[in-house]
Amino acid sequence: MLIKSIPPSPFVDNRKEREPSATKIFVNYLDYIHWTSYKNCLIQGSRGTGKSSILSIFYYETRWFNESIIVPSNELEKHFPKKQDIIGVLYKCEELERSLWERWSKSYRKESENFDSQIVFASFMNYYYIEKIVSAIIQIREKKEWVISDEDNIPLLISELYQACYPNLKLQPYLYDHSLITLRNLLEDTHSSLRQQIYSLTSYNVINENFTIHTASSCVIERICTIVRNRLPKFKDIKFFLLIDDVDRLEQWQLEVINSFITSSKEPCSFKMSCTGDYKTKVNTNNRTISTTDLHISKLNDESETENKISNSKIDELFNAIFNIRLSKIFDKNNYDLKIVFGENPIIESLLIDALKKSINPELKKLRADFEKSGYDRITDYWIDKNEIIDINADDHVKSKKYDQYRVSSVFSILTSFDIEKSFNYHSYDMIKMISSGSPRHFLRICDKMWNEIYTAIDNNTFPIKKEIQSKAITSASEDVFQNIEDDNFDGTIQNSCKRMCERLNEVFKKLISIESLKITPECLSLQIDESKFQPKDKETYYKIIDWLLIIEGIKTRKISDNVNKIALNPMLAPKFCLPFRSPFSYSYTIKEPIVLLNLLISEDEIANKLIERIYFDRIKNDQSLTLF
Amino acid sequence: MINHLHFSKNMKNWDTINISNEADIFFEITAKRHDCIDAGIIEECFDYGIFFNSSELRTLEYAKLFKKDSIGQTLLIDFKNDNCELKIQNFTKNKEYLNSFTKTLYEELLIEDIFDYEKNLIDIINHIPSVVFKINAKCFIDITGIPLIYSVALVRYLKLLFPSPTLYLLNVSGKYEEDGKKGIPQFSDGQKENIYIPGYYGKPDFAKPWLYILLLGFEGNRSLSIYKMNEPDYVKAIVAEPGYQNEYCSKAIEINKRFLSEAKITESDLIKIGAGDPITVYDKILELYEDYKDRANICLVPLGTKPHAIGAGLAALKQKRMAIMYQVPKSYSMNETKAAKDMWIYIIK
Repeated sequence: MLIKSIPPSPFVDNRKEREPSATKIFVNYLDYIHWTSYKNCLIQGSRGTGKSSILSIFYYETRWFNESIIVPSNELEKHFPKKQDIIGVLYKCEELERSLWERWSKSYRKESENFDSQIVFASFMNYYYIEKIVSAIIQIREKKEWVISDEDNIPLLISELYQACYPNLKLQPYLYDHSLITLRNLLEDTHSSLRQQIYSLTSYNVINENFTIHTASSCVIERICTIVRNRLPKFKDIKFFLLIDDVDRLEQWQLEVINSFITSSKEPCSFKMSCTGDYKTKVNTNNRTISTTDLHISKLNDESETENKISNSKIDELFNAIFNIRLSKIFDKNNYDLKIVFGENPIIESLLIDALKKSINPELKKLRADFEKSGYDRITDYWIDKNEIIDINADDHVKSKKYDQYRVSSVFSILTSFDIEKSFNYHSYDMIKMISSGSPRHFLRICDKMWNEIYTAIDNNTFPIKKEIQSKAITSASEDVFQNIEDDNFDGTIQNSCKRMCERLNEVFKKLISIESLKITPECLSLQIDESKFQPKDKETYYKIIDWLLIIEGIKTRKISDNVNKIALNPMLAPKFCLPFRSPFSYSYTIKEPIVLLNLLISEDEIANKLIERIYFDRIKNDQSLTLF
Repeated sequence: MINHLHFSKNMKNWDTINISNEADIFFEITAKRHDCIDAGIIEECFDYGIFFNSSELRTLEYAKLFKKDSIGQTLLIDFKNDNCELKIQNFTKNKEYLNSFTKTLYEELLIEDIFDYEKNLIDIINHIPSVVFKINAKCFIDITGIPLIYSVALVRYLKLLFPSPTLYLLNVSGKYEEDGKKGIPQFSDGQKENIYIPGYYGKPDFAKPWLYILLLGFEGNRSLSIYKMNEPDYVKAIVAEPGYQNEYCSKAIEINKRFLSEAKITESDLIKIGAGDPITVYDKILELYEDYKDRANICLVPLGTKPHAIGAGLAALKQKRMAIMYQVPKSYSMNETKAAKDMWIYIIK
């Protein structure tokens, strides 16, 4: 018998810039005008939407010699054809560099005083960009054989550049052979030495004594660009683009410097930047607010599938698109309906009845018998009435949306009270959607886990995929979220602590969906914690819980008001705790005695706290963004 | 042709393996290996020696081997942070040994905060006397019981500040016994921040992507978190094979399996180099540097054995564009690591 081999899963999460051929970027006409002008521009978009690709099209190595390591897509080359009228130099903000600048700045700045740090950072950026511009000129002149026509102007050019970069005569480095290459080397030495001083935590005063530093608002680069245009006729119409990739990785005090550059820069140079989230810092070093005339913002999210915040109603559309685009790599037909692939949403009350029927627990048998005798149509209505959870005064009330919430919460309350969650089989597209809690990364993870089954089902046209297989994939994906706990590297003590922590969480969340809590509100499995209700002595515990509750919550702790934070169980973790999942979008539970809950959660368990910190450390860097296609 | 170290089980006492003096070799490195049980006495005399006190029992191994008056001056460094009973006992023993074999001056340096790397390194360097400047002077550091960051940074400072004397690095390999469910004991715990090892800041071009070369050890969480935080475009991994013990390589692979799978490194992609061999590590890293220097910035991440870290340090000293990253832990562990069967001397000229 011929065994058909299954192709590799197309659902593996990956970054788009590693698959340049797959890049598809949407740029509108208006953005195109701004992006090729002298205007300062910022491009916003989720990870993988192609921001870096757009910047790379202006990078001089791509534009002039087609040699860049970062290859832009063909799509972009249609939008921004390679005319040799722009020299773009790139600074890609790195996470480690940011944290080391911040470490230095914290060591030396006084409370709320950034100015010294800003001056040094501005100088570093000036020297870095100038060195890259000089490097670009050297390469272009060499490779394009432009040497002869400009030769007479070169000594003057070097001398003017040198004076502009190093105006302080005492601190001028020695330009021994008066060549562009030596000037480039001096500039490289200056910015890398400045960087070394930052990393070895040298004080501002020492740096100031040894380096020519520029003021925080002065963009020396602009002067350099003007000199180049004046002295080299071949470059007289060239635009200089200062590219910054992932600018939002910079600290606020650094962004203020960039804003100062933006507000002061004019022809011939402009900044073109990219950022993942919002560009939050709006002021420059002089506290002037930057306006839309200073910075044109364009978004790469117009096509809806890459929006940062996905509303509940758009999830279906988004997941369907992801699923089918991924599948198009394998199959010709690619318009599968997820509701058919994974099954339609079940009516949870009938599932509850099924679960009750399977149970041999005498208490449950009695509950079922009592319900059948009672004459109620729905078991949840019977349960709510019997436990006096809410008064039913009028028919209207029973039909209300709010009452429906009580019904849903009652289902979980019954499951929890009788410990029958495991026999409650609730797998369907709806559950996968909820468990993914709007995160395509989670959705991809679950699909990846059942790739073999998805492939076979599509091949044989046998839908929906079996509930047991869905259940296994969901559990396994949720275990990945709790990855460190599964790591064999943990010693016994930490594993025990982890177990204890899970048990404790389980206990807490079960309390939240108990009959007592339902008497207060139907909104369960999420909490609102009010900082103002904490005594000063308990504040540290409060911050700790806000921190590590990130592992409980799927997205980020949402701030309801200044003091109140809303936190919720990450539905991905629900199977790990044997808890019923809930949507993270709508339910909340307000605790009146926060300290009681905190004690329940944290207690005095040092090792468990350490463990949570480790998980937090891994997750926070992990789950914030994603690539869809 | 470079004669790579090869680790035969039949090596005799103080067998020496040299790296040839080819023109492209920046440092002349020699490695000597010896069996702990039958070490005998070190006949050589030194001008200066630096010892570190620690809770590890293996750190005393070398101090036992010097003969009377064989070292001109010695410095014993103790970190105050983490005093435990065993460390205090070791300090007394160390002091006894050092007093017996030091000829002219025995000094102690008490370091308040083990995490204040920059300050501590300057303090240590300031303690090194002018005697080390003289041509043909011989000085050594016993790197057995100190955090990796100190050994790598000190080698750099000593080679740059005092280039003429021969530098000896002494190391005793550890015996890491699995303690029931706890597994192999960790040297450090938690993650505070990522930094570059002092002096090894590299000279990156921020327009280029990064290649990370991870030298793997028994700390799987570190490799994973460094990989995830920095998301380098290219990754290479070096693992110690043969390890100090036969099973160490497979253990290291097992412990790092999450990182390896995330970085999509298969076992055949792993670069395997002997645990005590800094020479091949040095050589391999420089080979990778040549391959990648035009298309990426290079960052070395030593997480494995100290000789591997020394090899990485020397490579980054030769090619200054490479940086070396270190993950600062929240605390250093107080393990009572005993000596395994091998002792090593690395001579860097």
